[in-house]
Amino acid sequence: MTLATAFAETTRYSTSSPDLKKRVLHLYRRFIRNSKNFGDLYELDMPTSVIKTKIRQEFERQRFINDINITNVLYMKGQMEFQELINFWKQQCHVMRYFDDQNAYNQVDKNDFIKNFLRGN
Amino acid sequence: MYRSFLRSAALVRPSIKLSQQSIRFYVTQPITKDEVITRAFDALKTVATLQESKISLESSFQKDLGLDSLDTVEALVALEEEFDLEIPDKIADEIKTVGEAVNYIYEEEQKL
Repeated sequence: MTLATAFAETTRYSTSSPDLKKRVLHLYRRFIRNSKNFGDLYELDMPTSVIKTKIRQEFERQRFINDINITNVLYMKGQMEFQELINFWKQQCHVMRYFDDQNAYNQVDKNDFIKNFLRGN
Repeated sequence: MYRSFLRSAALVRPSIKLSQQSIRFYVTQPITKDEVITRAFDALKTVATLQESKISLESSFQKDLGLDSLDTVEALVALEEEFDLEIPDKIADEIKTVGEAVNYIYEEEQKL
Protein backbone atom coordinates (compact mmCIF):
# COMPACT_ATOMS: atom_id res chain seq x y z
CA MET A 1 0.00 0.00 0.00
CA THR A 2 1.29 3.43 -0.79
CA LEU A 3 1.03 6.13 1.78
CA ALA A 4 0.00 9.28 -0.03
CA THR A 5 1.72 11.57 2.43
CA ALA A 6 5.03 9.71 2.63
CA PHE A 7 7.97 12.09 2.43
CA ALA A 8 5.55 15.02 2.34
CA GLU A 9 6.52 18.24 4.02
CA THR A 10 4.26 21.13 4.89
CA THR A 11 5.24 24.15 2.85
CA ARG A 12 6.78 26.77 5.08
CA TYR A 13 8.06 30.21 4.26
CA SER A 14 11.57 30.96 5.58
CA THR A 15 12.04 34.63 6.32
CA SER A 16 15.80 34.50 6.91
CA SER A 17 18.41 33.13 4.54
CA PRO A 18 20.44 31.17 7.17
CA ASP A 19 17.31 29.20 8.00
CA LEU A 20 16.61 28.60 4.34
CA LYS A 21 20.22 27.62 3.71
CA LYS A 22 19.97 24.97 6.37
CA ARG A 23 16.79 23.58 4.85
CA VAL A 24 18.30 23.52 1.37
CA LEU A 25 21.33 21.64 2.67
CA HIS A 26 19.06 19.11 4.36
CA LEU A 27 17.18 18.68 1.11
CA TYR A 28 20.45 18.21 -0.76
CA ARG A 29 21.50 15.59 1.79
CA ARG A 30 18.24 13.73 1.27
CA PHE A 31 18.77 13.75 -2.49
CA ILE A 32 22.38 12.59 -2.31
CA ARG A 33 21.60 9.88 0.22
CA ASN A 34 18.94 8.46 -2.04
CA SER A 35 20.83 8.85 -5.30
CA LYS A 36 21.53 5.13 -5.48
CA ASN A 37 17.85 4.46 -4.75
CA PHE A 38 16.81 6.61 -7.67
CA GLY A 39 19.10 4.67 -9.96
CA ASP A 40 17.65 1.35 -8.81
CA LEU A 41 14.05 2.56 -8.79
CA TYR A 42 14.03 4.01 -12.29
CA GLU A 43 16.52 1.49 -13.71
CA LEU A 44 18.81 4.27 -14.83
CA ASP A 45 21.59 2.82 -16.92
CA MET A 46 24.34 5.00 -15.45
CA PRO A 47 26.65 5.00 -12.44
CA THR A 48 25.51 6.65 -9.21
CA SER A 49 28.20 9.29 -9.60
CA VAL A 50 26.46 10.60 -12.71
CA ILE A 51 23.17 10.87 -10.81
CA LYS A 52 24.93 12.69 -7.98
CA THR A 53 26.54 15.07 -10.43
CA LYS A 54 23.18 15.79 -12.01
CA ILE A 55 21.63 16.54 -8.62
CA ARG A 56 24.53 18.85 -7.91
CA GLN A 57 24.08 20.60 -11.24
CA GLU A 58 20.41 21.19 -10.58
CA PHE A 59 21.26 22.78 -7.23
CA GLU A 60 24.13 24.80 -8.69
CA ARG A 61 21.89 26.29 -11.35
CA GLN A 62 20.08 28.24 -8.64
CA ARG A 63 23.19 29.17 -6.69
CA PHE A 64 23.23 32.89 -7.39
CA ILE A 65 19.59 33.66 -6.76
CA ASN A 66 19.46 36.15 -3.92
CA ASP A 67 15.74 36.86 -3.79
CA ILE A 68 14.43 34.97 -0.79
CA ASN A 69 10.92 34.77 -2.23
CA ILE A 70 12.19 32.95 -5.29
CA THR A 71 14.46 30.70 -3.24
CA ASN A 72 11.54 29.70 -1.03
CA VAL A 73 9.54 28.63 -4.06
CA LEU A 74 12.55 26.79 -5.49
CA TYR A 75 13.01 24.92 -2.23
CA MET A 76 9.35 23.97 -2.23
CA LYS A 77 9.58 22.67 -5.78
CA GLY A 78 12.75 20.77 -4.95
CA GLN A 79 11.05 19.11 -2.01
CA MET A 80 8.08 18.15 -4.22
CA GLU A 81 10.50 16.76 -6.78
CA PHE A 82 12.15 14.66 -4.08
CA GLN A 83 8.82 13.33 -2.87
CA GLU A 84 7.76 12.41 -6.38
CA LEU A 85 11.06 10.71 -7.14
CA ILE A 86 11.32 8.67 -3.97
CA ASN A 87 7.65 7.60 -4.02
CA PHE A 88 8.00 6.34 -7.58
CA TRP A 89 5.31 8.70 -8.82
CA LYS A 90 7.38 9.31 -11.92
CA GLN A 91 8.37 7.04 -14.74
CA GLN A 92 11.74 6.44 -16.27
CA CYS A 93 11.18 8.89 -19.10
CA HIS A 94 10.43 11.70 -16.64
CA VAL A 95 13.73 11.13 -14.89
CA MET A 96 15.63 10.73 -18.15
CA ARG A 97 14.41 14.20 -19.09
CA TYR A 98 17.08 15.53 -16.71
CA PHE A 99 19.76 13.78 -18.71
CA ASP A 100 18.70 15.29 -22.00
CA ASP A 101 21.21 17.08 -24.10
CA GLN A 102 22.90 19.32 -21.60
CA ASN A 103 23.13 22.24 -23.96
CA ALA A 104 19.40 22.27 -24.51
CA TYR A 105 18.75 24.28 -21.36
CA ASN A 106 17.90 27.93 -21.86
CA GLN A 107 19.18 27.94 -25.40
CA VAL A 108 16.48 29.64 -27.34
CA ASP A 109 17.12 30.02 -31.00
CA LYS A 110 15.09 33.07 -31.88
CA ASN A 111 15.17 32.41 -35.58
CA ASP A 112 13.84 28.91 -35.55
CA PHE A 113 10.35 28.78 -34.12
CA ILE A 114 9.68 25.18 -35.07
CA LYS A 115 12.85 23.93 -33.42
CA ASN A 116 12.00 25.71 -30.16
CA PHE A 117 8.43 24.51 -30.33
CA LEU A 118 9.45 20.88 -30.74
CA ARG A 119 12.01 21.11 -27.98
CA GLY A 120 9.44 22.65 -25.70
CA ASN A 121 10.91 25.96 -24.69
CA MET B 1 29.22 -43.36 -9.80
CA TYR B 2 29.19 -39.80 -8.54
CA ARG B 3 27.38 -40.87 -5.43
CA SER B 4 29.86 -43.57 -4.71
CA PHE B 5 32.65 -41.06 -5.03
CA LEU B 6 30.93 -38.87 -2.42
CA ARG B 7 30.58 -41.82 -0.10
CA SER B 8 34.24 -42.69 -0.36
CA ALA B 9 35.16 -39.05 0.23
CA ALA B 10 33.11 -39.08 3.40
CA LEU B 11 34.98 -42.11 4.60
CA VAL B 12 38.35 -40.58 3.87
CA ARG B 13 37.59 -37.35 5.75
CA PRO B 14 39.56 -37.37 9.03
CA SER B 15 37.52 -37.40 12.19
CA ILE B 16 37.58 -34.20 14.20
CA LYS B 17 39.54 -34.41 17.41
CA LEU B 18 37.75 -32.94 20.38
CA SER B 19 40.96 -31.57 21.85
CA GLN B 20 41.52 -29.27 18.88
CA GLN B 21 38.33 -27.23 19.34
CA SER B 22 38.98 -23.64 18.55
CA ILE B 23 36.91 -20.81 19.96
CA ARG B 24 34.17 -19.64 17.63
CA PHE B 25 33.27 -15.99 17.63
CA TYR B 26 29.68 -15.13 16.90
CA VAL B 27 30.40 -11.40 16.99
CA THR B 28 33.16 -9.63 15.17
CA GLN B 29 35.77 -7.74 17.10
CA PRO B 30 34.77 -4.19 17.98
CA ILE B 31 36.12 -1.67 15.51
CA THR B 32 39.20 0.24 16.60
CA LYS B 33 39.69 3.96 16.32
CA ASP B 34 42.58 3.54 13.87
CA GLU B 35 40.41 1.43 11.64
CA VAL B 36 37.68 4.08 11.69
CA ILE B 37 40.23 6.74 10.77
CA THR B 38 41.78 4.84 7.85
CA ARG B 39 38.40 3.84 6.48
CA ALA B 40 37.09 7.38 6.88
CA PHE B 41 40.07 8.85 5.04
CA ASP B 42 39.71 6.34 2.21
CA ALA B 43 36.01 7.14 1.94
CA LEU B 44 36.70 10.87 1.89
CA LYS B 45 39.17 10.37 -0.95
CA THR B 46 36.29 9.20 -3.14
CA VAL B 47 34.71 12.65 -2.99
CA ALA B 48 35.79 14.43 -6.18
CA THR B 49 36.84 17.65 -4.50
CA LEU B 50 38.94 15.87 -1.87
CA GLN B 51 40.97 13.59 -4.13
CA GLU B 52 44.06 15.78 -4.17
CA SER B 53 43.89 17.27 -0.69
CA LYS B 54 45.77 16.19 2.40
CA ILE B 55 43.30 15.04 5.00
CA SER B 56 44.12 15.07 8.70
CA LEU B 57 41.94 14.78 11.77
CA GLU B 58 42.21 18.47 12.55
CA SER B 59 41.39 19.73 9.08
CA SER B 60 38.14 21.61 8.81
CA PHE B 61 35.99 20.79 5.80
CA GLN B 62 35.31 24.35 4.80
CA LYS B 63 38.38 26.26 6.05
CA ASP B 64 41.29 23.86 5.43
CA LEU B 65 39.99 21.61 2.71
CA GLY B 66 38.23 24.39 0.87
CA LEU B 67 34.88 22.71 0.42
CA ASP B 68 31.65 24.63 0.04
CA SER B 69 28.49 23.71 1.91
CA LEU B 70 27.26 21.27 -0.74
CA ASP B 71 30.66 19.53 -0.89
CA THR B 72 30.58 19.10 2.88
CA VAL B 73 27.22 17.37 2.61
CA GLU B 74 28.65 15.06 -0.05
CA ALA B 75 31.66 14.24 2.12
CA LEU B 76 29.46 13.35 5.09
CA VAL B 77 27.20 11.19 2.93
CA ALA B 78 30.30 9.40 1.63
CA LEU B 79 31.19 8.63 5.26
CA GLU B 80 27.64 7.48 5.94
CA GLU B 81 27.80 5.10 3.01
CA GLU B 82 31.17 3.73 4.11
CA PHE B 83 30.05 2.99 7.67
CA ASP B 84 26.43 2.17 6.81
CA LEU B 85 24.85 4.61 9.22
CA GLU B 86 22.79 7.74 8.97
CA ILE B 87 23.98 10.92 10.65
CA PRO B 88 20.91 12.89 11.78
CA ASP B 89 20.58 16.36 10.24
CA LYS B 90 21.03 18.16 13.55
CA ILE B 91 24.35 16.46 14.31
CA ALA B 92 25.57 16.71 10.72
CA ASP B 93 25.09 20.48 10.83
CA GLU B 94 27.44 20.71 13.80
CA ILE B 95 30.24 18.62 12.28
CA LYS B 96 32.91 21.00 11.03
CA THR B 97 36.13 18.96 11.03
CA VAL B 98 37.15 15.46 9.93
CA GLY B 99 38.00 14.63 13.55
CA GLU B 100 34.50 15.44 14.75
CA ALA B 101 33.01 13.20 12.10
CA VAL B 102 35.39 10.36 13.00
CA ASN B 103 34.58 10.74 16.70
CA TYR B 104 30.86 10.61 16.03
CA ILE B 105 31.22 7.51 13.85
CA TYR B 106 33.44 5.82 16.42
CA GLU B 107 30.90 6.45 19.20
CA GLU B 108 28.09 5.16 17.04
CA GLU B 109 30.07 2.00 16.21
CA GLN B 110 30.61 1.37 19.92
CA LYS B 111 26.87 1.38 20.52
CA LEU B 112 26.29 -1.49 18.07
